This record gives sequence, structure tokens and C-alpha cells, in this order.
Amino acid sequence: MEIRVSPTRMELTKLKKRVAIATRGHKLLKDKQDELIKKFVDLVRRNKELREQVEKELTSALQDFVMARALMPEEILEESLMYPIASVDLEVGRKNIMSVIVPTIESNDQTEGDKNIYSYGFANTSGQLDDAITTLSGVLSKMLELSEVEKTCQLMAVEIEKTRRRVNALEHIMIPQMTEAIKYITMKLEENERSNITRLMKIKDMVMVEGRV
Amino acid sequence: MSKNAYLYAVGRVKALETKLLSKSTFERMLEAPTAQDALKVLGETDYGISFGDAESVYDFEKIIYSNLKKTYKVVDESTKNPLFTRMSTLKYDFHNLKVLIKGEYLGDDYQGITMDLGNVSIEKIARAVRDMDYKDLPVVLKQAAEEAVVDFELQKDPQRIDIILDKHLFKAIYQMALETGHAFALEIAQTEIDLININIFVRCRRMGRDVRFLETALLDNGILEKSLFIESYNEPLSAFTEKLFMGRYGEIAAEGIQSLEDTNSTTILERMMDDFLLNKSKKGKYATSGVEPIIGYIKAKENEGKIIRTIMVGKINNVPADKIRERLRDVYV
Repeated sequence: MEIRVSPTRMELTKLKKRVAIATRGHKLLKDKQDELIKKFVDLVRRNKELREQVEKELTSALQDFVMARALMPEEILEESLMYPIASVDLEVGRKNIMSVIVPTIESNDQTEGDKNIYSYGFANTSGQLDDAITTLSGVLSKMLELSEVEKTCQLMAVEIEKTRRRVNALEHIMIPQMTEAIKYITMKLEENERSNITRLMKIKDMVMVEGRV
Repeated sequence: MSKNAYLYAVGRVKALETKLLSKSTFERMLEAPTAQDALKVLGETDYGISFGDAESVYDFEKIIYSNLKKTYKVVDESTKNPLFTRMSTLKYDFHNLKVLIKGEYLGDDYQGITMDLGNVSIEKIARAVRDMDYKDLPVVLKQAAEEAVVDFELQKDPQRIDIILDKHLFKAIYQMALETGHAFALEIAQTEIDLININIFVRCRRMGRDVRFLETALLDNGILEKSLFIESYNEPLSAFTEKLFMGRYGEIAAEGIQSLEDTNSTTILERMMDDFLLNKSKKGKYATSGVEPIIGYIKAKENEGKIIRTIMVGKINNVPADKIRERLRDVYV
């Protein structure tokens, strides 16, 4: 597809300006894309690492839970955990990575003071429950980081996709089309020029013939 | 009290002892391919009558409870002395009290996790907790509830509710054991207290709590002095093991606490503790008179419930048989 333009000098200058801008934009977007991909790869790697860790720890915590459940009646297990003792304050903010707005999650442990996370007595409960709670409380901060990183990855992926589409559009469609149009106008103008010269030469010839007469 | 005081009860319990589940039954449950099949094995035993309308495998708790209830009833009827079962059922009243006090502070209804095995009706406890008026409750519950509520108002720490109520519970059990006037009842109660104290000691260390906390958490009236735990708290675990080594808990110290150090898991220690208590209760199996068979039978029944629970939870969650076996308690018969 080509751009329909009227072959005038004014159009030509306009187009030339647009090509210049498009080329500069293309270069900038390309740089942005490269940088985004670099950051994205780092994040994805971190994401994988975190996810593996979290999944491993969660599995072990849940296994401990099952074993604790096997040693304690359901009611006692629930009673032990019904009144949570630890609380966490979450603060969700925004961060700008290469003009992608990504979330940040800050957690403030409210139980920093005495460090007790076990909300139950000892007489009827099993030590396996302690293990499960310990693992779970350790995994929370990692889960928060994971959620942050994973969301960032998703947003970055969308942005990369968008940028790539723009870069491609510029590189393969916009710029070639405009160059094409420029070529067309220049050719048209040159053609006009040539027909003009021919016309002039013809007139000159005719004038000269008439002059002689 | 004369040795022949409970002849009828002993006779009845001895007859029932034969119906206790044996190791081979549990082994069959373990080897069953699914939870449903394990439950079926259980249905062929004395537990069959307790099945009632239990259909799903998740109803196994109901079955255990209804069977336990029957056990308590039989013992009560035949001994005409409520103290024996009361030593066991009091813990359910305390559990309900814990649930209801915590529920009151959380402002939600938690009656779903109360246990209907105690002697005091749940409504009665719920009413007392709601009105903060405990005069209708038995005196042990009343004292415990009052102390726990006052403490919670000050400290806002739900763990302390459990700890305070546990302390009152075991104090009451100890008192009741004294009241029965039988050395065996006292021995069992005190052994239980000691074992829980050892467990508290070990778990507090793992949790990284300070010695002051340990002091509040330890139960009174054990055979082992509280000072033994407190003094050893800041020493290495091996020092504590050595102190226990020569005493009656030598076996637990040697193997159980050692395994804790090796594997960093309390699994074996806890199993050994339960087995230890069961072994002490087994005296009842060989006695032909006195209170030993009665107390032994109650403990055996409770132990049976524990084993069934472990197997069923394991089966439902597809835990490998070996892993379940590792956690299985010994059997009485």
C-alpha cells in the first residue's frame, strides 16, 4: 500500500521531515525495546527462581500441615489457628521501569517486637504444626516479592509487545512507504521539470523559426 | 480404697478389651488402596456400629467421637465414679472454652469447631462467655476462664489463653487423680504432665522463645521439677538429654530427643511420648483388679482414635504408607 500524495514540493518537504522523525523515533523505540528486553530477562530469571523457592516451601509447609492434621483432631487444629497473632501491613505503590508503571509491595511486619508467630498452646498441639507455621511465615515475604515480580513481568511483556509492534510498523511499513512516496514525488517533479524543459526547447525552436520569417 | 472396689467395671472392661483393634487391623487399613477401603476395614470392627449415617471418608472423626462417647459412657456406668472419665473428658470442655473465648474476642461464631464430648453443654459455656459470668460453670472452668479473660484483656495474646487454660486443665486432672486415691491414676496424670513439659521445652527452644516464656508455659505438678527445664534451657540440648538419661524418661531422651537433633523433626519424639504413656497404661492390661484396667482401657481407646485419625488423614491425602507408619502409635493389645 502506498500513500496517496499530491506531487508538490511542499508535500516533499513535509514527507522528508516525517521520514527524518520516523527514523529517529524508530531508533529510540528500538533502544527502548532492547533495554526492556534486557530488564525483562533479568526479571523473568528472578521470577523463576522465586517461584521455584515459593512452591518448594509451600509444598513442604502443606505436607507439614497434613501431618499435623493427622496427629490432631480437626477441631483442635482449627482452634489453634483461629486467632492469628501475627499481622502484616501491606503498602502497595507504583514504580516506573522504562515508562512501564509497575506495582511495588512493601510489607511491614507488625510482630517485629517479640517475634512470636505461634497462636496456640502446647498441650494438645503437635510440633509439626510449629514447622508448618514457621515455613509459612518465612514464605510470606517471598510470596509478596513473587507477586510483585510476576506482575511486573506481565506488564513488561505487554509493553515489549507494544513497542515491538511499533518498531516493526515504523521499520517495515511507515518508513518504506514514505521513502516510496518521496521517490514518487521526486520522480514526478523531475518528470515535470523535463517536460517543462522540452516544452521550452520546443517553444524556443518555434520562436526562432517564426523570428526568421 | 479396696482393690475390689471396681470388680464389675473391671470385668466389663476386660470383656471390651478383646474388641480393641489389633495391629493387624491397622496394618490392613494402611495397606488399603484408598481411604474408602480403609474405612471399610474399620467398618468390619467394633467401630461398625458407630458408623451411623457416616457415608463419606471425611466422617471418620464423627465415628471416632461416637465410639469414644460410648466408651466414656460404659466406664461411667460400670464404675459409678465419674472421676475416671472426667479426667479424660475435661479436656473437651476446656477446648470448647478456648474456642468460645477466642470466638467472643474475634466477634464471630465458631461453634462449628467445638467438641461435643465434654460434660458441660456448649450452650452453657457459650452463655457464660458471652455474659462474662462464669458462676454456672464448674469451678475449674470458672477459675480458668476468669484468669484467661483477665489476662487477655491485659496482654491481647491468644497464645496465652491456650497456655492458661492448659495449665488449669492439667492442674484439675492432677487434682482429680489425687481424689481417686489411686497411685496409678496419679502416675498416669503426672507422666502425661511430664511428657507435655518435655515437649514444651523442646518446642520453645525451636521457636526461639526466652526462658521467661518457658516458665509460664510449663505445667505444674509433674514428677520432673520445673527447675530442671528452666536450668537446662540455655544449655545445649545434650545437657538436658543427659539429665533425663538416668531417670524414667531415659528412653525418650536417648532416642526421641536424639532424633530431633538428627532430623530436626519432632515426629519420632512425639510418637515415643505417646507410646511411653501407653506403655505405662498397659499395666492395666495385665492387672485383674484395681483401677489399672479401667484407666488403661480409656487410654487405649483414645490411642486407638489417634491411630485411626492418622491413618485416615494419611489415606485421604495419599501419603505413602511408610510415612504414615512412621507416625503410628503403638497399640494397647
